Amino acid sequence: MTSLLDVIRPLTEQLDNLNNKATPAITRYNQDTTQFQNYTKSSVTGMTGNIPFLGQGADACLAAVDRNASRAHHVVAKLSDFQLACDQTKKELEEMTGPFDKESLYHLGVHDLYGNLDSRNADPYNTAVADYFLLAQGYSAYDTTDLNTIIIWRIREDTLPGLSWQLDALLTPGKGQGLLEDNINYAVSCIQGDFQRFQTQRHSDLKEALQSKHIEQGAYQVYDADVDGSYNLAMHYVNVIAGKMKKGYTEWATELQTIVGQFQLDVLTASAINEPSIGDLITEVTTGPNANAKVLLWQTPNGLIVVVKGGVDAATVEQAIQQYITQHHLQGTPVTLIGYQNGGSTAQQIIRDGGQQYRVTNLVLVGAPLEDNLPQGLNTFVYQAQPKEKSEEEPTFLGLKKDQLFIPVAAVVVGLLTDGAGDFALLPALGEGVKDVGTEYAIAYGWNKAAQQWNAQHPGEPMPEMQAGQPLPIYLDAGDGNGIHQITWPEATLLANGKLPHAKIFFKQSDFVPNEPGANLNNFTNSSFLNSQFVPDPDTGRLPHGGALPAGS
Amino acid sequence: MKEEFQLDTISVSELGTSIVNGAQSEKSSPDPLALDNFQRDLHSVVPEMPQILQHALTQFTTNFAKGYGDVLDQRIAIGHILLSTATAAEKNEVQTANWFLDTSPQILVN
Repeated sequence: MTSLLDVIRPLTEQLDNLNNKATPAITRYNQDTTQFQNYTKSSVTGMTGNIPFLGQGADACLAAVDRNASRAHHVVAKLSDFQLACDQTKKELEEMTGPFDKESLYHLGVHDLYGNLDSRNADPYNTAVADYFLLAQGYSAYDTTDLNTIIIWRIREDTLPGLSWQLDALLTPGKGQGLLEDNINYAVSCIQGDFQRFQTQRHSDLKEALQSKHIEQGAYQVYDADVDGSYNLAMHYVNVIAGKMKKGYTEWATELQTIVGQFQLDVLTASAINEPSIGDLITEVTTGPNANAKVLLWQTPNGLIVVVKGGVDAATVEQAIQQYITQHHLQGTPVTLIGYQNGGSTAQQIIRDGGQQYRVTNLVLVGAPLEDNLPQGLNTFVYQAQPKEKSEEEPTFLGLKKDQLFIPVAAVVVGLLTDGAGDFALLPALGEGVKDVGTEYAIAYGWNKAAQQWNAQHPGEPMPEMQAGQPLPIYLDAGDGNGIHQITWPEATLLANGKLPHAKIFFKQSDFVPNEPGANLNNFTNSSFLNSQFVPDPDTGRLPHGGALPAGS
Repeated sequence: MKEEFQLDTISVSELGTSIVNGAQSEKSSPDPLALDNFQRDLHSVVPEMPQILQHALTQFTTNFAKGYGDVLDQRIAIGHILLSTATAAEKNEVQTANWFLDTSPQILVN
C-alpha cells in the first residue's frame, strides 16, 4: 500500500544520507582543529620547560593559530547548521506526513451518510452500496473489514504511486496541489468505470433471473431500480471521500512545500560561509579577545570595515582610522562603518564630521537608531530590536493588527506594513516627539531603499538627486478617503512639514531583528536573521548591488 | 618587559613540517573524510535530490569546500611561515610577526 511517506521517501532518504555524511565530518574537522591548536601551542611553548620559540614572532604565531581555529569553528558551524537542517527537515516531513496517511481522516462521517453505509441483507437480488464497494472493484479490495477503507485505499493506489518521481512538481506551489487533485479525479473516474460495469452486470443478472422465472416482474422492477439507486449513492459516497482526500492531500502538499522551502532557505543561509555576516561580526567584536576593544578594523581587498562600539568619542576614532590609513597608504579608501549600540551615534558623528582621507560608503547600525543630517549617497542599514509581539488571535488588515495600524500619537499615526516576513513591530519610539522621529525615519528609510534600487539598476553610476515621482517604499493613508497607497514625494514633503495632520503612515518592516528563540537581542548575538545579513562591501561602485554584497566577495 | 626572541631551529622546523603535512592530508588524501573526498561525497547526493533543491545544495557544498579549504590553506601558510623562519639564515622576528598578523583584525582603540 503506497503512502504519502513513500512518496517523499526519496527526499527523506537523501536528507538522512546527507545528515549521515555530515555528522562524522563535523566531529572529525573539530577534532583536527583542536589537535592542530593544542599541538602547535604545546610545541611553541615547549612541554618540558624548554621553550623552542619565543618572542613577538611566537606570539603572532599563536594568535594566528587561534584565529585559524576560530575560523575553522565558524566554517564547521555552518556544516553543523546544514546537518541540523537535513535532520530536522527529515523529521518534520515524517511527523507532518504521518497524520495525512491515516484513513480515519477521510472516513465518511455521520453527517455524510444517508442511513447505514452497509445495508446488505440475505436477498441475493438486492443491490446495496456495499456491493458496489466490495464487488465492483477492478481488482480485489485489500481490506474488506471497513467499507470506507476500501475506497480510500483504492483512490490512494490510483493517486500516489509514481508521485515519488514527480517530487519537483509536488514541491511547486499550485502545481503539486493540482497534480494530486488530478490524480484523485482520475482514481474516481476509474472507480466510476468499475461501478458502471457492475451496474450493467447487475441489470443483466436481474433480467436473466426474470427470464428464468426466479423472480416476478414486480420484484424485478424494484430490484432493477435498486441497482441504479445504489449506484448513485455509491458514487456520491466515493465523491465525498475523494473530496476529503483532496482536501487532506492538498493541505499535505502545502505543508510539504513550506517545510522544503524552509530547508532551502536554511541551506542557503548555511552556504553563507565565506561572506562575513552582520551576525558574525557582532559575535567577533563582542566575544573572545576582541570583546573589550572599542574600535576594530578589517582591511579587505575592497576597502575597510570598521566597527565602532560604545565608550569612545568620534574624534578619537577618526584619529585612529586616519593613522591606520596613513600607515598603510590607503588614502581615499572606501569604508563600511558599523556602529554597534552606543557606538551608533559616534559612527554617525564621524560621517557628519567628514573631511577624512577615507570615504564612508555604507553605514550599518546595530541596536542604534538612524539620526538626522547624514549625507546623501550613503547606504544605510539599520538593525534594531523588535518590540513585544502581539497576540496571534487579533484580526489583521493588510497583514497588520488593529493597534499596529492606528496609534494615536500627536497628529501623525505610525504603523508598519508587513511584507509577509513574519511578525513585526511598531516603531519603537513612542512618546514625545514621535511624529518627527517617525517622519524622519520614513524619509531616511525611503531614501536608503531608493538608493539600493538605483545601485542595483545602475551599477557603478552615481545616484542623482531624488526626483519627485520616484516611488518610496512607504505607504500613506492621507485621511482623505482614498485609502492606503504608496507615498509620493510631494506627499512626503507635506507630511514632513506637518501639512497632513490626519495622515497615517505605514512602512515595510524589514530591518527589525526578529525575536526568535535563542537570539539575544540585548547584544544582538545568536540571531539567525543577523547571521543571514551580509556586511556590505565598502566598494559600492564595484558591485551591482551597490554595497549590499558581502565584503571580499 | 618584552620576551626575548628565541627559536629552536629543529623543533620549529618539525612543527612547521608537521602542520603543513597535517593540513595537506586533511585537504586531500585517501581518507574518506579528507575535504576533497567529503566534497565529492556530498556532491554525489545532489542529483538524487529534487531539482528545486539542487542549486542550494550545490552552493552549500561548494562554499563549504572553499571555506574549509581556505582554513586549511591558512594552516599550511602558518606551517610554511614557521619553516621559513626556522630555516632562514637570518631570523627576523618582526618580519615573522608581520606575516602572522597579516590576516587579523586591527584593534584601533582599546
